[in-house]
Amino acid sequence: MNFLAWFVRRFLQTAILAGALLLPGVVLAAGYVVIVNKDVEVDSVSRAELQAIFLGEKVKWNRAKYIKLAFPDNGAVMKEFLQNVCGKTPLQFDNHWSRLVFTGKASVPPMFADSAQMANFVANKAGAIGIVAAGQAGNSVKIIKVQ
Amino acid sequence: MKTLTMIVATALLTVAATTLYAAEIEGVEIHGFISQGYIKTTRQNNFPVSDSGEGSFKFNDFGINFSKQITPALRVGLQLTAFDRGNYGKDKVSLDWAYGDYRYLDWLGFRAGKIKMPLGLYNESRDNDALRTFIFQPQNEYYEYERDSITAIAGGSIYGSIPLGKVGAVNYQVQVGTIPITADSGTALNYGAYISTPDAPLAVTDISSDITVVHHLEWRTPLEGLRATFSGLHTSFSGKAAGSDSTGASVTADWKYDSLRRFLYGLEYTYNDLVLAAEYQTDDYTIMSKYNDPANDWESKQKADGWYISATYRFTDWFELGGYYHETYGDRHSRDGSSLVQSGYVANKWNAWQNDTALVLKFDPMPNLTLKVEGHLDEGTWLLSETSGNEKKRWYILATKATFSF
Repeated sequence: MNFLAWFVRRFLQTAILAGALLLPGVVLAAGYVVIVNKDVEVDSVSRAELQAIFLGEKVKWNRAKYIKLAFPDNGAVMKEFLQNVCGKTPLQFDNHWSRLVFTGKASVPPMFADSAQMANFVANKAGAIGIVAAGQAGNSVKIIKVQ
Repeated sequence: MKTLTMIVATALLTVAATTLYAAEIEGVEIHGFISQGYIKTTRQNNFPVSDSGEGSFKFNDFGINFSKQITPALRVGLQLTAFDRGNYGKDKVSLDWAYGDYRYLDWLGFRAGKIKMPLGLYNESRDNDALRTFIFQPQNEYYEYERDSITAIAGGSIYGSIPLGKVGAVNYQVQVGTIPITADSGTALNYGAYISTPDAPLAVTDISSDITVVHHLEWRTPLEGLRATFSGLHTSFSGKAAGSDSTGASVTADWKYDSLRRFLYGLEYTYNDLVLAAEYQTDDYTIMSKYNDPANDWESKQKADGWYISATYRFTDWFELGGYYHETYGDRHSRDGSSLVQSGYVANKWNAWQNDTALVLKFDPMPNLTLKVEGHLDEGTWLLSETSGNEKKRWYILATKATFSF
């Protein structure tokens, strides 16, 4: 009975979220913000671009500066970001990057559990991009919009 | 082999002690995996481990890789692997991949060295058991006997990612080179079975590939979670084989596995914790073998194919369930097997096709540890390479595997 209740709850959560993502113009209130180094001459990115960046497919800002990725090692922030932007669970995302690592295509980006550490890394690394919890970006980095 | 095991074990201990997911020394990132399994099949059907009918622990995989980002555009790395499947693999350490990678633009990068082949949805990452749900992926598409050959190419490649706006994005790779392959590989063992005569089992003594081209397209569609792939492999293998007949007389052969054209079409759909996948593969090739007794010479054009559908669902952080159904045919224009019986290539129609139903339980009790139990019910024996003629039409595989990966 417990399993059935869990399954039904999980199914409804998934259906509601999927329905919301499929509706044009629907913006989910995010508990995170996307931050970049202040030298990045970009003020907004599309969801598709952000997905390509975090899957390791887009590596340059406007064909110029190389992108330096950083991952939040924060379950809630990362989970929400991955669900909204990459359409993957944290485990699927880990597997995606492990496949890149075990075929020689990429290194695992640095991970930060703490928003201040993440912001500090992004602020001091040219071309860097990261995710922090909303309200914890600080002034040393630039917040970019996700269209 | 002991050296590789010690290196991987030392790295694992380092990782375990620091609870990091990778070891790093002087900017060189180190990752690795160790897998050990046990397999038992129907006594007469040894597949894909040579002595699986008796039950076998000769079923392991090891790997360790080193990589370094030299500049933002340039990275270099290599991976050493070893595996055992009984009569092939045999825990011999080999260079799995080693290449330099220069990423010039999002849509244009270059790689040179020994590079993993992107065939189908999963071929590039098939070494590490922890990266997939199943112990054995569908064997028509991910054949264990090709594990040490049709997985990497020595040469160069161009690759990149191209955004397509509202219709998604495309990732592409084109590779040109040759396939490094040795006479003790699983592929050579498989080809030896092909060119053996009824009276004389032959073993491949020399094998090499012609110039090989691999192409791969992955389309990430606008439908969230849906990706489609189209891959091709164009190559030929040739070599020599030797053995003796029942009278003890020497039998030699010059053989060619000519103009192999392999195409794979794949679809994968991810919906939260549910992953559905399907692939279809065709193999067109000509086998020719010339013996020291020309009366035995033969040539045969083959048109094989196979497909599968699979589903996996992640129930919790530590438990995943998966299953697939898979069919493969030696002659796609004669699916009941009659053409290969008439040509004398197989004795029974069911030797010319195979279907396979698999179910796996995957457990991840710790971040770096994966445990699996997998069962297969099979009918037909087309994919079996090490045969005695006593194989059963209906048979089973039961496999377990534990993998530590970092």
